Amino acid sequence: MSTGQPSRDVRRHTRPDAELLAAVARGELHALGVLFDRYHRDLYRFLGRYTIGHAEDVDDLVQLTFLELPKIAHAFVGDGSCRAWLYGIAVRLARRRRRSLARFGRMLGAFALALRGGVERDPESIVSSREDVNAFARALSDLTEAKRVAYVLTELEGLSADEAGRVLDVSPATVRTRLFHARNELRDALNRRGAR
Amino acid sequence: MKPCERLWEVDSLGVESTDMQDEASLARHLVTCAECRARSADLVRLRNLGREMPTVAPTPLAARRTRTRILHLASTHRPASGRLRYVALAAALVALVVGGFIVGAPWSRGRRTSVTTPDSTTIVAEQGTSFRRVREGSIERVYLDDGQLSLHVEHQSADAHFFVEMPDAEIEVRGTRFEVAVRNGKTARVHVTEGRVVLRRRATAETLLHANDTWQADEPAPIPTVDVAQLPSVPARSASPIASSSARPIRVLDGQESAQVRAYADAMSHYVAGDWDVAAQAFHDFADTYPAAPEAEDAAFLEALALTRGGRMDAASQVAQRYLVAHPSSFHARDAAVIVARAARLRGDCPAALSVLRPFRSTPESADLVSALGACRAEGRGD
Repeated sequence: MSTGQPSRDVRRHTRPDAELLAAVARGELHALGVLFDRYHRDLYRFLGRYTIGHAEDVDDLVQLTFLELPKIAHAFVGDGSCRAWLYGIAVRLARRRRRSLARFGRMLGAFALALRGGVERDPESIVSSREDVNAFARALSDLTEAKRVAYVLTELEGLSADEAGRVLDVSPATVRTRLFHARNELRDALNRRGAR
Repeated sequence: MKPCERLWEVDSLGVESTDMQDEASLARHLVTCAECRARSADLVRLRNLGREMPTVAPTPLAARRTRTRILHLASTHRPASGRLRYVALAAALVALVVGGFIVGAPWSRGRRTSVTTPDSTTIVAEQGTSFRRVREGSIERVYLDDGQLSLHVEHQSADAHFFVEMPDAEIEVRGTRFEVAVRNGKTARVHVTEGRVVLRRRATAETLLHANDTWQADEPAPIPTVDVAQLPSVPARSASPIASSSARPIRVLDGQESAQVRAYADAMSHYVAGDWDVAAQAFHDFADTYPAAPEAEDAAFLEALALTRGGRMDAASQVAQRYLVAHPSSFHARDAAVIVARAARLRGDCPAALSVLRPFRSTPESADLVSALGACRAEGRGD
């Protein structure tokens, strides 16, 4: 639609994450908006998988994550994407919130409701795939938090063991161990349920 | 039977960095090793099931509201320079508490305490107050974390200083009687009995208090909530999964903090109430008055939307066209283009309608673009 010089909108969306975070640290909230535009979908997706959460809780955690940035933006180190770093903030915030047992119970219970309103597909595939997916999600929710987050970060979000270790503030070896056990438990759970 | 020695490589694939040579070697091995092949298939199956789980994804409008809410909250809580703004309170007097004073340990909660220093400065802490005193040479600081203190500070000598430090502000005292209360991390009340103090809180103008003056934090106003379901929707787009995001109530801020916040909240209130002309004017005024505000871009688009809802298609089109010129790659650009295209179609100008939507068209055509273009789509098939 526009020709010639890139518009201000295009230019602001090509700024590196480190530059945007430095701007946020200086109090430039416009940069916070750009970071939200860039990463909110990833955060919603990750938190939804990790917490198996009610959408409102995920929404709250996404907001809290971005609201943390003005305080800690100066702590970001690196030249690349800050996506994994945001995941680390989100995990810490989620752990703090999860201390409320009532909320945790609501999250697990609400998952069934969320699944019934899931992605629309043709009726045949909905029946068979939802059984599989339903069984998988239950098995995932049965994992301990440490194994579940390691699995979600590496297998579903595509982080390496090194990256996941930095997110979780543990060694890559610990991530690999938790992932190994998570896979075994998921496999066993699905086999017990007879999921295809 | 002993497990294959290369099973660990299958487990590591995708989690560890490997070079192409290793991957090629593993790929050859998988052809011949049923065990590794089964393990690999199993891991892929689990991963695919995980990725098929419904994901939480807000609708574009819900995401926009969340973004606006975040920027609001961040702007009302940030220190302007990233540091606490101290404003030493002028107006007053007095010298300070003398040396040899107790420092360090916080008072335990649940006791009411009165302390009188050798130079007759008196501090009375209400029950449950958490505070501590630290003395460094001729500087005395009282850190008040929560609760209420009554202080009578004798006149300070020229080289002495007495400060009361709250979580969000500071008072410098030269000689006066006053009370200060902190609740939930915020300064709640300051009352001066004698002398004068100047209170300066983070990101606000200073307040000079004389004898018998009281400064008190406003009670937070009740925040009206509005059910999103009652709001007219943005021009249709494919819905994202997770219906609960779109049903979540939003908050229309009834702001006490600033005229800017109030102006945006007022405009939104008119929009929610269906006063389209008033809302359009209010959004226009907001974007004009506060062009650098985080909400200014939203306000510019919402003006066009309010005009659309009010049936003023030509006016809406002009506003949406201005919005597209100012924000061609923005979040609402597509919706603004839909408004322009629909108005062009209604005037019979199919080339204009097709032109403005060209960057957003795809195959298959989405419902809102189909609706906006109407019969003009037939002309556009030649493009």
